[in-house]
Amino acid sequence: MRSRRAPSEPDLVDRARQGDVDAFEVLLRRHDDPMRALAHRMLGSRAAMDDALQDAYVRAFRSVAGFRGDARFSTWLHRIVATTCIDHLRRSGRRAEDELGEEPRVVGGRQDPAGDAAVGRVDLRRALNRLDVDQLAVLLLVDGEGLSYDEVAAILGIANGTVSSRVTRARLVMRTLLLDGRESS
Amino acid sequence: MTGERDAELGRLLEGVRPPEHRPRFWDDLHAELSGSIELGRDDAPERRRSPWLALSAAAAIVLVALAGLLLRERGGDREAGIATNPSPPTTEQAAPSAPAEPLRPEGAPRSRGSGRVVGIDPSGSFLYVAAPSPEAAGCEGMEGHALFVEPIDGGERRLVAPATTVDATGQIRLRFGSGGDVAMWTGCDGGSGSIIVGRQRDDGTLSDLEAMTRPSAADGEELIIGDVEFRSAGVLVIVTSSYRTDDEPGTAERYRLSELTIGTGELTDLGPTALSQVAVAEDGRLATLSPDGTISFAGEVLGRFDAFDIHVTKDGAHVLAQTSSGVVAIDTATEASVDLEATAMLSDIRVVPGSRSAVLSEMVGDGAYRLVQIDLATGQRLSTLFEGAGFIRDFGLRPDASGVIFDLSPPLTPEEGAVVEGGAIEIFEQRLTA
Repeated sequence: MRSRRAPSEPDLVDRARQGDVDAFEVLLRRHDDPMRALAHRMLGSRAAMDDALQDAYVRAFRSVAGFRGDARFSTWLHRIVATTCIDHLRRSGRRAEDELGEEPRVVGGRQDPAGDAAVGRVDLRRALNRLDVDQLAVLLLVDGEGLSYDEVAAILGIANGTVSSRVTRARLVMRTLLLDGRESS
Repeated sequence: MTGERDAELGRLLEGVRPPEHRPRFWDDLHAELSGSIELGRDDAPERRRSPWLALSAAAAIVLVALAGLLLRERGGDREAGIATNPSPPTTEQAAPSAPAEPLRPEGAPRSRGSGRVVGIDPSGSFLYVAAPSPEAAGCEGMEGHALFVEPIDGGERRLVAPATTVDATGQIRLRFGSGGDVAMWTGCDGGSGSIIVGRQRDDGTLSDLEAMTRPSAADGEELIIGDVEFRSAGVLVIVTSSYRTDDEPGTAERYRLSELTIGTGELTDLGPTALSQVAVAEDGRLATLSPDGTISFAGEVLGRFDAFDIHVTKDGAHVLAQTSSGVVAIDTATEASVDLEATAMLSDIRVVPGSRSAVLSEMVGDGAYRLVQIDLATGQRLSTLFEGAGFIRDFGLRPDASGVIFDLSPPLTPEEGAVVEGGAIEIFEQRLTA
């Protein structure tokens, strides 16, 4: 049996399994940055991001007692967040067009500080909206979060080959849209 | 397989920085986790907690619990060697199953006291439970639990072994081999599991308990025991995964198989494989899932499915594959597959002895579970054995299918908060008639 020590992730997970809300919140705050990034990129607005993350975090807490440690906590949490975001997207259709303007527009990989709607400007969100939900999730996890195919396969519960095919198709769509945007600008 | 990030798309995506949470996000979350949230307060968006969403979340959670082990590529022939060299059945019958007949609940579930179900021995004589015990040290502040046994038809609950030898506070899995051999793996958390072997006495208690050498992790890695099964008499197959403790993105888990010979204590590393998941039938034959979705059993390809998790019935008659759209049962003899009715949130499965059916536990809502019997040949639900509020962590079937014994944690109501102490988990038995 291990001796007590400063709260490590396994310690916090154990306490969370026993219903310790504070311990669970410490875990959530440690992992919140990538979860916010994923949820926001998938859903497109802060309100939707917060709504989905609150759902996801509550679900995670209600189920942490069953977390066996077969995967890393971050992988487990990523999976719940990703699945929740997918649920939200499928339930609500897609990201609302009127929410697209919340973020800086992007041109050629660089943020455009002016943010005006010049002719031919490629809106990253609009491009992301052209992906189907499954492609979107894989693209954001691989290219947005920098996770390996193995990790994404574990998070989404799909085969590595499926990750590969989905990300390939998603990149093709994105490159086509981004390239079209640059050519027309 | 390890994918590479598209650098340009990565920069584009990173250019869209996520905003901070709304001001009261953490306060609202804390209130909800503590069971006292006020809905629709200030700038909080309207809560949309539809039952459908709850089911989806439950499914995600169950899938995590079921996900098991993803094995890295290389050395698949070694698993094929295991799969094509099955040993005689150990405990439960592997005879062809009879057509499924519905089991019917008889009366109301009867309480068997507090604790968690650990297992029923193959003879159906004894029920093993983990229950709070002052003699158990516990772990990291958790209330200590010890392993107890009680005659399944009633009688005194007895300590199986000193709590210092078998601590059942965390996860504990009990496996029965041939000739009274037993194996357990226990752990306070995933990374600290231990493997204990012993023998079952006539009164159900265990003797000759001995902690075995477990596979070790490389420097800078943590190793988790994913499963332990008897592969043949006196031989265990151990599935482990390991990951780097620095938790850096891109450090995927590595999965390996090991074999442990109980008599000599010899531990043989069978290495990583091209398999993404394995499940072991009672007689040692392996069901395997490859990264491309190919499912095989005993070395024979059954087909390709969009599957990410597999189970195999103990008799090896069926492999169940969890896919994104539900659960598929594959007949290992005919390779025919059938979609199971309403099992999108499969939690666990027990084959009904002597029948081509299985009992599944599944989440049906936010804090509700049910036990259903499914005909594995048709995929149709034959019967609902139990449905109620709370969480079923584990369950077992009497070998004669005359009862299903399950533990039930209280639902997480706002009044009770989310804390479920060990003593609050209660074991019930639902008697069944054919």
